[in-house]
Amino acid sequence: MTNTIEINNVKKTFKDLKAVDGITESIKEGEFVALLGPNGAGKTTLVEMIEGIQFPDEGEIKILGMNWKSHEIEIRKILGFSLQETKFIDKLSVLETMNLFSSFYSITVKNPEEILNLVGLSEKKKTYVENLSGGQRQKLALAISLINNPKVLILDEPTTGLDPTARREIWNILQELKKKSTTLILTTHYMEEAEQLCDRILFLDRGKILASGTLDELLEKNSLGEYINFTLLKNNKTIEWEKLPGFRKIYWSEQNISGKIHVNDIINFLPEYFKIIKSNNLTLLSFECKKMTLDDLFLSMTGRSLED
Amino acid sequence: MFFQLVLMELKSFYRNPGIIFWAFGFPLLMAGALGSAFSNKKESIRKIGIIGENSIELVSQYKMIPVPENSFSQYEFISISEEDAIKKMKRGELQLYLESSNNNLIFYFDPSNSESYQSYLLVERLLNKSNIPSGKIVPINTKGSRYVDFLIPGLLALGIMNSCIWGSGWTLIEFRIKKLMRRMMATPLPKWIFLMSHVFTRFILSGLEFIFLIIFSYLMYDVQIQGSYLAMILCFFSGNFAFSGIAILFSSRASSTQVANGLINLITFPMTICSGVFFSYHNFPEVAEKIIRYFPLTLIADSIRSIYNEGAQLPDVILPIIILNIVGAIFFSIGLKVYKWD
Repeated sequence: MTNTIEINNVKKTFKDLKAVDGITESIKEGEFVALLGPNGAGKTTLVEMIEGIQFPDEGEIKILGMNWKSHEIEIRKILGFSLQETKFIDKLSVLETMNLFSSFYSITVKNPEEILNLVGLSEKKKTYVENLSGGQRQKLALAISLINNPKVLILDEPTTGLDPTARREIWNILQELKKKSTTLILTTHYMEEAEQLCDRILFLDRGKILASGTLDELLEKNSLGEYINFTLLKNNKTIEWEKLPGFRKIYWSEQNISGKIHVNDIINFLPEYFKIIKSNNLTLLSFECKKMTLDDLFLSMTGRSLED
Repeated sequence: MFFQLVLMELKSFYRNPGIIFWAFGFPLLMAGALGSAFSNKKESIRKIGIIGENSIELVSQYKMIPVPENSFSQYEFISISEEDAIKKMKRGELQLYLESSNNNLIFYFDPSNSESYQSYLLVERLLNKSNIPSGKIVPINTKGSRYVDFLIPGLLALGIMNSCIWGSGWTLIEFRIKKLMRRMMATPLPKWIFLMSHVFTRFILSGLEFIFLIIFSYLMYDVQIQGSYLAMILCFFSGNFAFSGIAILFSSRASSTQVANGLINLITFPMTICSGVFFSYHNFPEVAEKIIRYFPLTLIADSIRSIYNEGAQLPDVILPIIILNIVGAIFFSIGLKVYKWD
């Protein structure tokens, strides 16, 4: 497969803040890539540079071998995207907005009504934009990003602020696009979104890529293991949890009654864990075993949560 | 609690230098500009035209009349032909002219124009003191010489300016503030088409306003276009083009409503006051008058006024039309270059 997007040592600084600090990455045709990171990690700056809305201070970005300086119009024709916050003209209806944007592309590849159908906005086509709910606006932004039948689709937090149903609806639409070998870059701070939709995940923090790979690769490469979350009625501080087999680390909550233990192998760890609970007469209020998630992984890499 | 709220308001005020300028600096600037035009009334000179065969003698005679010390006006008597006097009255350069016939003075002016009426009262008093008997008043209210004939062309020009500056300028700034522009500019849409679409929309809307006002003033006050229709149409388009260019340049960087509001006031307010829309700009000191004459609004107002009242044809207004188009083209191209698209 050829590389659709090539990012070569791209840097962008705002005053003293290094928003993007020397990122090099390539994205293949048809690949769905998630950019994950907490707020301020540099996700939006990076995607806006790919979208040609901002320009790098250093480095180069190529889309299908073209760069922004010499092929702006050509790139705009094959690129579809929705910004983190897109506003449309309040007094235009959904269909009028679609028609307006499709007029900006010399060849209208798709029928606006067909796209509205795809994103589930057909019933709202005569509704003014000002009367749409947050989720419907996000869907309209997505619909507009699809107008030119884009080869590359970039969505900046397309489901932020949506309820779970609306979020799943958008996921379903994107999964449909996957069948058409569209290349997708998605920024999100919902790990579930990245897990569900994307082939590859890029962890971004403080303008740098911390790790890149499929979910399994990342989990395997960076930190094996599982988590046990539990809450006790009363803690006994004399217990030496670290002596249990396969113990890696324990994180206590502020009250010291809820704990999170990172273990290598839950099968060997659990029998010994329960023995301690029993022998110390501790009461378990809650107990849960979890496979490591992206958020846990991010926490172990940076000490911060993705949703910070 | 109360003081915290007051403090909050004051902080958000003084932490925004743009607002401080528009709140304090701008009114001072305006006060300065208008003050120079109207405060120094002692310096203001009332031009009085004298017509008739003996006009030159009368001018030298009247010049000798001492102005009373408590007077706030000075007078400049000029010998003039009746035709020129009427033309100057139409342009607002002259408020009054008089004629001496059989030792009786005849005053010609539009009594509904308060400036003219004031000039009449003052001149009459001045001449009476020198035992020159006053005579009758000939009200001038033939078409083209009334105050309404002066006012309507000014309002037409003002309409063009406001429509472009508020319509295009404000809408574009609002587009930027609401981030509507950002998304559109990320499509293959050429930037100049985006801006020209605003200019064209203004042509349509301000064209309608223009036509409505022309029809209304004709039906209500019998204000009629005496000159070339083609010249009038070209004046309209050129004025629109000039102000659209200005609107685009001034809206090119502003990204807050306060700054936008201030900028728009900065452009429109001085011209509304100075460009001879409501009253003649000949009240201003000579230096200022020379500059004001070339303000875009003055160029439009004067051209429309001469087409309306003096029967001007295209060659009479071709110079202002050319200037307006050059202004439009320059402002538009600079605006396009420096435009901030997100």
